Amino acid sequence: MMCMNDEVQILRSTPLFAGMQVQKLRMLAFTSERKRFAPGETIATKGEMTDFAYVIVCGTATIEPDSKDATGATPHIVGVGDVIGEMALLCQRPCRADVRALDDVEALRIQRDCYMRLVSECPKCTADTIRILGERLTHSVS
Amino acid sequence: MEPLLSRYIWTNTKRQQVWILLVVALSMVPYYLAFDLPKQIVNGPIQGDGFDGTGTTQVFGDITLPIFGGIQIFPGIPLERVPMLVALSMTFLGLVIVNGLFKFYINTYKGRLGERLLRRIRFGLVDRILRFPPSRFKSIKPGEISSMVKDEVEPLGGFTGDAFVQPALLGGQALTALLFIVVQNVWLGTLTFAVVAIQLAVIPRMRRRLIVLGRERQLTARQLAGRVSDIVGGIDTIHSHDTTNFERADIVARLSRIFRIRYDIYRWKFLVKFLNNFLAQLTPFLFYAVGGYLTITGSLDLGQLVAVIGAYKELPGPLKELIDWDLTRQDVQVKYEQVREQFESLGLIDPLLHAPDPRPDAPLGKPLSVRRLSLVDDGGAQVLDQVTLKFEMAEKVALLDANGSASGALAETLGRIVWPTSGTIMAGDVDLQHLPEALVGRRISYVGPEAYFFAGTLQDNLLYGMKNAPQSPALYTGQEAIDRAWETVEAGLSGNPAFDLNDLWINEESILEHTGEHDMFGAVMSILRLVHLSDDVLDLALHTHLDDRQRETVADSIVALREEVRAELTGRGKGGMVAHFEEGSYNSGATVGENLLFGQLLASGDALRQIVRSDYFRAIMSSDTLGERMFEMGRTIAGITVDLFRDMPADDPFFDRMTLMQPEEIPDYTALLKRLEGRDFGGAATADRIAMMRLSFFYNERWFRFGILDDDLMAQIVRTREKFFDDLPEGLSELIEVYTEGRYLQSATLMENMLFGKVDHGRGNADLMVRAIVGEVLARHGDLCREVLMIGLQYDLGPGGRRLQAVQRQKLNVARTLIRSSDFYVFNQPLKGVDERTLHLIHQDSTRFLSNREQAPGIIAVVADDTVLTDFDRVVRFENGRVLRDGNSETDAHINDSL
Repeated sequence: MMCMNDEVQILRSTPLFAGMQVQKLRMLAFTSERKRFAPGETIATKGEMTDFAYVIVCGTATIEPDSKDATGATPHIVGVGDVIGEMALLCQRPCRADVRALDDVEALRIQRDCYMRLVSECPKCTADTIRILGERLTHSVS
Repeated sequence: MEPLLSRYIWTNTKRQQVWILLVVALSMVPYYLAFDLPKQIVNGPIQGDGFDGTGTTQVFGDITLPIFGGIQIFPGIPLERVPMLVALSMTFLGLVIVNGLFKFYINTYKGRLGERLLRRIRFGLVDRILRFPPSRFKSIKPGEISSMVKDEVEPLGGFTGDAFVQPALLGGQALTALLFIVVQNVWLGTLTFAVVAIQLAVIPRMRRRLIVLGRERQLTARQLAGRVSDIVGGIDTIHSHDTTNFERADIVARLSRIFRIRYDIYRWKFLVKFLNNFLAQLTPFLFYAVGGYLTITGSLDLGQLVAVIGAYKELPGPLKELIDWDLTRQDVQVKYEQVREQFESLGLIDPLLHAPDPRPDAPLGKPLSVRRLSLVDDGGAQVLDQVTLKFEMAEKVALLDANGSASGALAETLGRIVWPTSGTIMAGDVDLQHLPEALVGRRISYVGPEAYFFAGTLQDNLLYGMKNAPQSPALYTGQEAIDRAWETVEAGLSGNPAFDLNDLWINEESILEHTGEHDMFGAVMSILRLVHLSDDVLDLALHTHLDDRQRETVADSIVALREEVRAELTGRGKGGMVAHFEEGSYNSGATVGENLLFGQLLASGDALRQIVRSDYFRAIMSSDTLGERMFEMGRTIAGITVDLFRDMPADDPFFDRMTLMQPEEIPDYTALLKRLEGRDFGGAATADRIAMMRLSFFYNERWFRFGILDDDLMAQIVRTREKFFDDLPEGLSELIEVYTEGRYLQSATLMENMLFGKVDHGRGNADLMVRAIVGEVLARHGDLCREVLMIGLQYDLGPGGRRLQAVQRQKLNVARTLIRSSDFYVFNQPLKGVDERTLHLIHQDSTRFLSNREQAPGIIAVVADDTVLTDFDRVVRFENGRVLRDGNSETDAHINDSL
């Protein structure tokens, strides 16, 4: 059985949370819920507004390609340590794609307000988050 | 408002004041008579003046008016010495009673007068708040102003009764006593008068200085407190600059100043006291010395001297009270001025505009137009610049900003949330500002992004916008009718309007007509459906703990539904999403405590403590290893929790997410952990053992995932459960509501009762899926479904609607606008938190609903971007506060694309 300490280890390996102190990650895990999804079950629905993101702690899921420009695009597979809907942690944006569980998935549901509060309490975390976002921006522009 | 409190009191209560003054004057007659009697009793029957021989009689009760040389009304009765004594004494007793009754009447009357004025002031102040122009609210603090209405005006009411009566009464009493002394002996009278004059002139003046000093004391003490917190806050700066001694000097200087003020206060206080006492005692000295001399020389008889001294006893009391009265007067005048300052405002709304409209169906002039409308915000920015626009009925207009915030500002001025700096809003050819709010408020419905809800139920708040004027009066019978009549009369006497909260304020007919439904329930639900809130109503109902009355109506039907819900869940393959209460197994959706007790605690708070402390529980726990294991579990829980929360301030929002401990318990558990270091179950004190076992009661492995509850332990808990119920004492069993098939659990929510179990929140979308299935099952039972939804409508929103989520609040805000029947609807981005798809659906549904009305209303909506423009007929684009383009939506889209 997986417990909070294992979750903290997984969070540490995720870029978005890697910069946070262990104590903060423990609080993040403590304030999050763990959800189980059966194979085929929907984890996130495109267009839905949520105030949480999932971090997969067990199993794999597919991010379905956008049906509009689905010209041969293959579904993107995500697994342990990947974040689903991380934009929801940072701003109020609808989910960009459907996400479905491939096998038995367990994921940590992280609430935006908890994450935001923890990040804002620690300048280093904030700086790290901005850096990660910046890198992604450069990446997507180039 | 009147600048002077005394004038305010006089204007509003002059008739009563005159009446009470008359009564006071009248009361002086028996008061004076009661002074004179003791002298007559002592001189007459007791000392025997005029009763020289046996059988001599004196006339008793001769009443002669001292006008026209004396008109005799009653010749009196001749009486002998002893009957005379009895008659005079009885008269004295009678006068005492009459005087007491007068006092009683005067005091009650004054009290009532004061309460009425207090009521008048309070109502007047709140009335003013309701009539303040919107801009006034930027400069007032709600807390300050509400405490003014509540506390600060209170002494004003207390003073009202005394404002004129007290000086008249006390002055009258003092004057009567003085006059009496003068009549007895001019010299003694003059002496007393002189001393009293000194007292009245000097003492209040000296006291005034005390008030000044008191204020100074308050101020310096406040500054000292500020300085101390300054030192604490800046301690690092102080140390790094080595200025501790400078700070010491500063504190010494302040303390010295405070000391000086306080010492001054003491000196003055006791000096005033001394002087007052001295002056009060000086007069008796004069009476003894001068009066005694006069008696010995024979120019004053002993009875007169006794009467003078008796009369003088009545003097210091009224004098002291008069001085106190003057002090109170100054005090309340200052308070009144402060209140007045806060409640004075330019541009108060004319009360006539607020009067309930006698013609609720009066039409609003069409079209709605704004002319050369300008608005400058607090920062001095020109938000609207000479905007002129026209809005017709049945027109769907989108307001869109290319740059700036003109569209929102225009919507706000149309909704009268802000008043324009210049320019007018016209309905037909009438300025909106001159139209009564009853008409404008009903004919133009505005809804903005900020939703405020008043404490009350969901339905109350939804219908809030319909409570414009009483529709039909509440009917009263018997005692209630008498009470209501009294209330109406009293309201009138205090200048309050005679509104009755119990009247029917909602025009139900117009709602039914507006929605096309047959009953209020249908109307309410149809509106909630428009804003996609009807599912939430079911949700709220399902999470409610029913009260006694609600249980009576639905409990049995809910219990009867359990089988069907269970079958449906299993049939759809969702059986695993609910953990049912089963006697022989551990329920992973429930806490350790709920599993051990196989039930829930009935009375919250102390019940758990009672159970855990009981001998019975402790015996069970120590009979096998469970006690020890729960103790260790508690220790781990405490360890992890304390570790996480140790350094958090008690008001940290993270505590809201923690159900294991209260913030204030953290230090206790820290100490407890320390105490238990290196000790096991056997070595721990009983109290500590109990504390740890109690903590483990709240634990649920699914929620907290501390990894301390394995299958073996669960099985042991289930085994102990059986043992626990074997021989449970009655005192404990009545604290626990055991899960029983076929019975409604009052400690559980409606949902848990329908499921007879708990939703497994660990399963991805279990909440939603189970809810949907339960909803479907309920829908098959129309009447029950209706009852359940009604329970949802009765959901209490809490202060400010805080028990709803932000999105739900926004939807409800729109719903309470849609339920009103208006000519124009102004939507100022009320659904900002709602996702795009839902927003679009809500918009389409509500537009269709409004356009299908017999007289289609005008819809004016502020939109955030281009994507929704196809829903509108016309688009107005703003740039820097000016209208950039105004045209129908197709050409607008065309132009915009070509740009």
